[in-house]
Amino acid sequence: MAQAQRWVGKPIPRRDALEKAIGQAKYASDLFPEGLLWGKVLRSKYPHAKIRRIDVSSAKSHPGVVAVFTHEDVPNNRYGLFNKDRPVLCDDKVRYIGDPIAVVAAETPEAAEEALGMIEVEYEPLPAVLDPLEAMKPESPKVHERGNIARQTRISFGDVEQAFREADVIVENTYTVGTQIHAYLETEAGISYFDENGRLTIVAGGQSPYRDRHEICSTLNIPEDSVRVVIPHVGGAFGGKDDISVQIHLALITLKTRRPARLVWTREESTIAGTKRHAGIIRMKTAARRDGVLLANKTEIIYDTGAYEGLGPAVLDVAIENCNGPYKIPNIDISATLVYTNNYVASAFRGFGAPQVLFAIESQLDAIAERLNMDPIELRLRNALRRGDVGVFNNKLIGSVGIAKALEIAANHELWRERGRYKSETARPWIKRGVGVASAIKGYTLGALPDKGQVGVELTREGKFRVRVSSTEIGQGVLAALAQVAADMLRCGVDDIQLVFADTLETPDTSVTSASRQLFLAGNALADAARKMLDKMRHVAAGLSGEPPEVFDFLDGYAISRDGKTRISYAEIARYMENNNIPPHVVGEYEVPRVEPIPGTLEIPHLFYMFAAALALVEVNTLTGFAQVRKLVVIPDAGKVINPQTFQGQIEGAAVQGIGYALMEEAKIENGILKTQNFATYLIPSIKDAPEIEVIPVEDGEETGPFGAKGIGEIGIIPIAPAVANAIKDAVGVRPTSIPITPEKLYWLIRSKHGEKGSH
Amino acid sequence: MLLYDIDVITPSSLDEALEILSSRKGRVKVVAGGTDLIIQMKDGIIPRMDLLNIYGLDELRYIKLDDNDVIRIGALTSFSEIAGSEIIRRYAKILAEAASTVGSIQIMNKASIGGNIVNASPAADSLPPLYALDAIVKVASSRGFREVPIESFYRGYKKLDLAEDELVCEVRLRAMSDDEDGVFLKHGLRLGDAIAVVNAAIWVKRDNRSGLFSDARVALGAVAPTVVRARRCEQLIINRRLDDDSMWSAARAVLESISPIDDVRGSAEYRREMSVNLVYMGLWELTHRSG
Repeated sequence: MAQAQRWVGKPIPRRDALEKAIGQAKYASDLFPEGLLWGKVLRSKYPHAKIRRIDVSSAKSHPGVVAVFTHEDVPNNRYGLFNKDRPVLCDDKVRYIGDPIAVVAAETPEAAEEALGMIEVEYEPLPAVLDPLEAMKPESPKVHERGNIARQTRISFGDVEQAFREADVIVENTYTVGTQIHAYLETEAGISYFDENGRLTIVAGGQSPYRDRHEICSTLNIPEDSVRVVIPHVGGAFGGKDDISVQIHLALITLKTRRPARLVWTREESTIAGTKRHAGIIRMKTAARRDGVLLANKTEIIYDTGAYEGLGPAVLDVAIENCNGPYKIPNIDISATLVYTNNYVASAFRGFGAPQVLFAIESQLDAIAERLNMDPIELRLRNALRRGDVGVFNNKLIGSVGIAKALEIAANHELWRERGRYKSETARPWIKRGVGVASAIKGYTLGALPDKGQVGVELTREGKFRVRVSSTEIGQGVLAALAQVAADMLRCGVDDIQLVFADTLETPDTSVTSASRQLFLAGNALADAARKMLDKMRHVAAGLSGEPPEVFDFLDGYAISRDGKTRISYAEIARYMENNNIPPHVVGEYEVPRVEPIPGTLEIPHLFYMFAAALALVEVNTLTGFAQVRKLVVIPDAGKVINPQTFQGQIEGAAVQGIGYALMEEAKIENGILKTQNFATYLIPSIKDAPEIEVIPVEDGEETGPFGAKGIGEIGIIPIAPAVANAIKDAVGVRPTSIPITPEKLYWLIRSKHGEKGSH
Repeated sequence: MLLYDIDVITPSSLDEALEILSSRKGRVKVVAGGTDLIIQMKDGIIPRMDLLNIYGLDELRYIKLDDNDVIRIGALTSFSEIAGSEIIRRYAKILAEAASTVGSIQIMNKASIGGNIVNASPAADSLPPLYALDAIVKVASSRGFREVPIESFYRGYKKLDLAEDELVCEVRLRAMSDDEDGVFLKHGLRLGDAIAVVNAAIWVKRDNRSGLFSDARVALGAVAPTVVRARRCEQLIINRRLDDDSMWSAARAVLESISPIDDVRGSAEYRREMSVNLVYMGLWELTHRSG
């Protein structure tokens, strides 16, 4: 797009920064509608049990209680984005500890809490299915009638067995990855009420107002135009608010009682009933030639999706798509299985199935480099995908591919060139240092699934613009970025852009805020809208001036004729439109280009991929097993950075979340019981655990993106765990194959290699 | 569990607090910063009870060094105040180090040393230094004052030598002199805001002529129902020439004093190894400092 960039690329302070810092921004959990009822959810005590009887009569008789709802109040009691396997309120069975059974609506939170204790549920406990490998056996108890294999597929290209016979080096490992919890600052929260027009309104943290509305209406069997869903500022989502949480329960309370309601999950409810990142087992056998050229990769992926699928089938696709890394590998064979168990519910989480498999393949690459005695970056560069290459699925890479450039930056970085010096700088004999590298790849957009979004643009009477998007502001800064893009497209000041967001009544459907593509999707739809709006304005300028429309261009809020003699302000144009009944709004649309999915998959391959490389300097205390990340260098392929400040923040945040994933974040589930229900036991990195992080963008431009931008939301987390693991291997000589690499795990691993203490 | 039906009584002086404690014996629970107590009450770990809120009693908030080289710390003194105190940093540095790792800034601002002592968590970060420095706990009641050595203040897991009408009002230490040294060691699962898997404090007195440690105290936390002194280990430090092998031997001797359990933060076996390794690291630090 050949437009001047006055705002794009500038570190403009985010418009929500101040209001968030001083506590003015309203999140769903800040809202207390007048006359509200307090909602509370009764949750299952068993990981797996039949429900024999639910008796709510005594709870209903509590003086403060207005209503108690069960599955009998839900007309269509199953929902789900791929497979409607999840009950709004459990009827036949409970499938994890925390599965919702009843919803109480009461005048006070105390009454709601007390009433929960008065609901009688008679269970018939069933054997719990806790191990995904056990779950896959036909004789295992079934979580769902259709069996425990939610999805299974196999994708092969070439002939891996032949390649293994010809290979000079073969590395084979089994990797295990733990369950990560989103741990957002704001738990799942919302309110509900009937608005002045009698429309059922749900204001709740989420990632897609239209999809949430669809789930509400399909389960409660009410028309979509009778419901409004608003998503205000969200205190973190990371994919965890892609699925339904409080929305249907709130709608149920208000629909049946005709009163406003509030439902905010406690931290414990959030860790228990919120979705999680898939734990998994990944077996990988990778072959290379002596010169480092990769020949084959055979992968078996088993992901534990827990009690319900959620977005699991798509997560599995992303695992399949990225398990070969950003490399050309002529022979691949992938078996992938999504398994039901009674271990809570796994669904979307930043990276969406990719961080697990990238941990595996990037560890494999390091092991191959070691066997070949080759520089790990050189090995990666030798095999790195480049633009125009054909990928592992025989898919041509038409978008920008920045991985080679990112790896070259890594190779030339001081931390890599002088890693010998960095490693020697330790003051205690038991402290060992290492430097590791890893690459990352993940598609952005919804891949082969249809994906279309709309953006509305309206010229206000004052000559400013109102931009309407259903994108959700989950902390990533999409609104600020879109304002910058809109200001450059509409040729005005960034402060002349007002954004209306995430409201099914006020904003068109810009599709879900996920898959790192809201800026890409909304930005492109915005470009279409801006074209239409400027065209409209050009004709108005012509009408006002008597000059032909094509002489007008736009700058700084004025239509200006080519000779510069005629200048008409946007406000004049707006007034003219109003006086002549010309509608001052347009809707732009963008449909994401896609290809047909390859057989055996749902949504892959993508046409557009993100890439990144990362370097990690890690210090290991061999006497405790504690690994500390001292420095990270993250090099994302950004296309074009719209706002450097927001970009840096987003990459740093992802990197720290990646450190958590690599080293400490672990939902410990024993016998179906989550042992880490709060932040005293579920450990996320503290500020002291966040190292110096250097972010170096590759900005090669993506022609299809707004001003050359591509997705960035997820890629920052993906290379961190393998870079940290590879640094640990470099430091202590043992390769961690299980994340998180907690101190105790690493300590025993070091002990198993080096024997008794004191022998370091 | 919600605590909406609990009464909070706020006395305006220590005397008034002691009167209330005496008249409502066993029916009121003392709260200071509340960083442990409120959570435990909400979770049903301790019984719901009306609260005696002493947080406003500034008379219990002080750090003093008197002429006899005795440091007195008022029970309500926060960990931020302790960590930042010149007196503590100079004359009881291992306590300052421990205080700065107790928790987040917010916790350190709110939580008090008296609360940490009375809460009696085996993993409490202030306790190993108090054991290593042979601290004395001063207890008040309407009947008068009483002083108890820290080690005998604990009679078992969360069992205290503290009657229902008594309040911990002060902790007292002897200021460390130039020939004394010490280290505080904490192994947590992250760098900030971590509860210790194992923590330890070592205090030594150097004999300047021989260069040996003429006296030593080693205390470990999170490895037994209470903080423990590792006396066998101490014996192997005192008046011995310490090379790498003998430091390992002394460190391994802590195993005689500990009885760790498995929990969400670590296995018993791991805690045993960490106890030994932490003490070794501490001895290494002490022997590699000038002395």
